[in-house]
Amino acid sequence: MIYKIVRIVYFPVLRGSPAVSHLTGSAPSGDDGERGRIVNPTLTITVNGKPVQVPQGATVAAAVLQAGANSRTSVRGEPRQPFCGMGICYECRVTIDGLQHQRSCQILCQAGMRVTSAES
Amino acid sequence: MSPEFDLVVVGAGPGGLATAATAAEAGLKVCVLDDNPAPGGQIWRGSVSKGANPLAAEWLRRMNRVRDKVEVRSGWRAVMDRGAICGPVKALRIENNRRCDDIAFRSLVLATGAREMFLPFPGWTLPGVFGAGGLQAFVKSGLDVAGKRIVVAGTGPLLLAVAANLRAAGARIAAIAEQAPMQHMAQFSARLLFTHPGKLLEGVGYGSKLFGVPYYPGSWVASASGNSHLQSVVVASGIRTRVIETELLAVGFHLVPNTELAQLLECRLETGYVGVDALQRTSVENIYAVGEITGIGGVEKALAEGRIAALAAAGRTAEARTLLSTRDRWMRFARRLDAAFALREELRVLPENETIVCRCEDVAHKDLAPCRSWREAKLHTRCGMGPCQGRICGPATQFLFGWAAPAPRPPLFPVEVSTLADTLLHETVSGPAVSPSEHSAT
Repeated sequence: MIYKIVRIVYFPVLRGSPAVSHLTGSAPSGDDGERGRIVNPTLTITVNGKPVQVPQGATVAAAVLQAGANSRTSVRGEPRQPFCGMGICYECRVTIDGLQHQRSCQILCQAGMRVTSAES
Repeated sequence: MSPEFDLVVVGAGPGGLATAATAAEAGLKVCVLDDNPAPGGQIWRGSVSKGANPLAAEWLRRMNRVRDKVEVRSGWRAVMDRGAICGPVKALRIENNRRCDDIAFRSLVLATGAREMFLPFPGWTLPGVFGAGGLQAFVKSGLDVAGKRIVVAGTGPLLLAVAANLRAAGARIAAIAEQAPMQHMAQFSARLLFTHPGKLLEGVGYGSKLFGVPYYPGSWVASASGNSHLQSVVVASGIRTRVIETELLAVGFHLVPNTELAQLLECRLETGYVGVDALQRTSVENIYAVGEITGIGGVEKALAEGRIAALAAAGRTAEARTLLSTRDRWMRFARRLDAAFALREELRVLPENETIVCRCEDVAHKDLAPCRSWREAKLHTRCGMGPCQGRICGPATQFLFGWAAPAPRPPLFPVEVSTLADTLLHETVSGPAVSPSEHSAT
């Protein structure tokens, strides 16, 4: 409870401070355009057409797993899910807004993002 | 071409951040490249921006104080060496999801960290099976595991931390299986009491958060099964086997240093790690290495090494030398970790004929067994030729078959064609970049 209060009070302040945006900025997937405002701490993207709600700052891989989807189908047709979580194994490759072969564990969710992956 | 920097740091984990902040404090113009969406590396994932971890918070404050001297480029990875472009100024080709760029530097600090070591066993490619640090990363990145039944297995101090964090996130830890024998860990812990009591306390802290969780030392996951998703694992100890029903498995066998960029830049390796001198200098002039790539030793070692490398690059060697005893103390910890969590022989025989070893190309164990070398395996089976470029199956085949480590080739990661095309165009039109000294010689 205390944690939640601290988080909700300080989250927008931290996100908006130039000091921190200096460190968290220039992510490959771009800005969310909502820095410095009090924002809902969750956002919604679609995975294979189904809406998935994830916390702000969640990666696309986390959303794919949250949706219960697989990320890709292997060379021999096996279903695979994100595995290493750190951009090394490439098991988490999905199509994001039409762009194929994106490592979903290294990309943050943006509201309205459309993710296509191997369905489970 | 991006403006020239005095110092480019590759990796924004603890080692990279300590290097960047210290170098900028010493007056250098610094750029930090990092593949992840935000700084912090694997260990401080998510805690740099939230300031949750006190050490991470301290280095964040130091970074903020020098922010006009440090450019942090998250989401960028170094893919190729561009060589010397002008005298001592060298460059790297870098790429993010949108475009490529060249970045020029006088000194380079490699802080590329480590990845998890994975070993194949029947069922390890099933959905529901994750790396240990991998599952922790997914949870830190937004995955909800509340109420999920999870087995944590493999080896290394990371397992306890992962299990404690997953439990704190609401998961039910069904079991922890550590392959190292109880005797090794008891000796390791007893020594820590005298040399690194803080680390022992950290372990005890995690242990106290895992009260009531079944802990099996000297045990390993022999197989995982389920239809389209994991349903159960077999945990073996050589004496008995247990079938444990579980929804998720988090499995990792300690860490492998990410030495690929160092190797590409021709830095010498020593027993699998990047060789460095007292001031973190590699065998290549003006290239330094810090953190896990010089020995798997954790945050404290990386911080000490980062500060030493930064001071050395800034020409403040006397100050750098005051940190050597701290660094050496953590280097000893690194060596003890390697010894305590050495992999047992039984793990070599876990894969069955059909068990996938190379996940990218779906190469089965039976197709690799007749090969005599990594090269032969590549030629005959495509093992290691998928997008991970052997980062997962390379260390596994080294352990399973005793093959020599694969040598990395450029580009270090799969890249856009335009990233390569631009290189070729540049070299065809103007010839390979040469230094002024080479010009005067011709």
